[in-house]
Amino acid sequence: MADLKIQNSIAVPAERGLTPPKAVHDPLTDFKKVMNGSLREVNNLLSQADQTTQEMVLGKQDIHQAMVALEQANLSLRLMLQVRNKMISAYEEIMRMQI
Amino acid sequence: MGLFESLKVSASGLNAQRRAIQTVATNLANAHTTRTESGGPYLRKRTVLSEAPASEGFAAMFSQKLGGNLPGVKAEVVEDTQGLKVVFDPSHPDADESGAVTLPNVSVVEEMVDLLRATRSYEANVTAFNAAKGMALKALEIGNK
Repeated sequence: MADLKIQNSIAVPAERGLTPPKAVHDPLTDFKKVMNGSLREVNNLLSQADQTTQEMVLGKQDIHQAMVALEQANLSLRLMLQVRNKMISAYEEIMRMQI
Repeated sequence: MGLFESLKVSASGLNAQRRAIQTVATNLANAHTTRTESGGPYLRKRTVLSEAPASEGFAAMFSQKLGGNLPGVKAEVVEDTQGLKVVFDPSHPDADESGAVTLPNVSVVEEMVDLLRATRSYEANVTAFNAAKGMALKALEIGNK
């Protein structure tokens, strides 16, 4: 989000002692990394739930274990969807901006 | 993850109560068993619950020791050797020379009480699980119009 800060676009004279804050990380790759990581985690939970359900059918696991795994996958998927919704709405808000 | 941790605690409770119900079932099934692999009558089994980390792994254990995660429960099955019933029944194949038969120390009434307790406890764990899930879903609604 450092790209959106006004200070960066306004050239502040260096002699006044005010230097614009520098972003430590590249926010674009950082966000991509975070998103990728959480997507992978959600995918892991989904496949884990799938595996537990299969084991339950084969008689290796109890019903409640399968249900718990399914609920965990369900919750993480919903959380991921909410993050995506927020991201899309922020993007749309910026695209609507008058130039 | 705090949310999944509370779900795992509830899951450990479900596991423990499932084990308790299994123990009651085996006690009821063997209430009149006079022959076992180790010889002698069937000995009543009891579940002993102990505090245990809800999830495995070093990180979970470490977090619990630091006070971050609260522990779940674990069920262990122990044998009860007290209170075997001796009845006089000379016609029984397992009777000794004096005609006495040693019957298992299973009291069906007690087992029914244990069964009821385990069932209710299982339900309570399910309710706690659903409450945690409901809170998480409600939290996802934050900011929605």
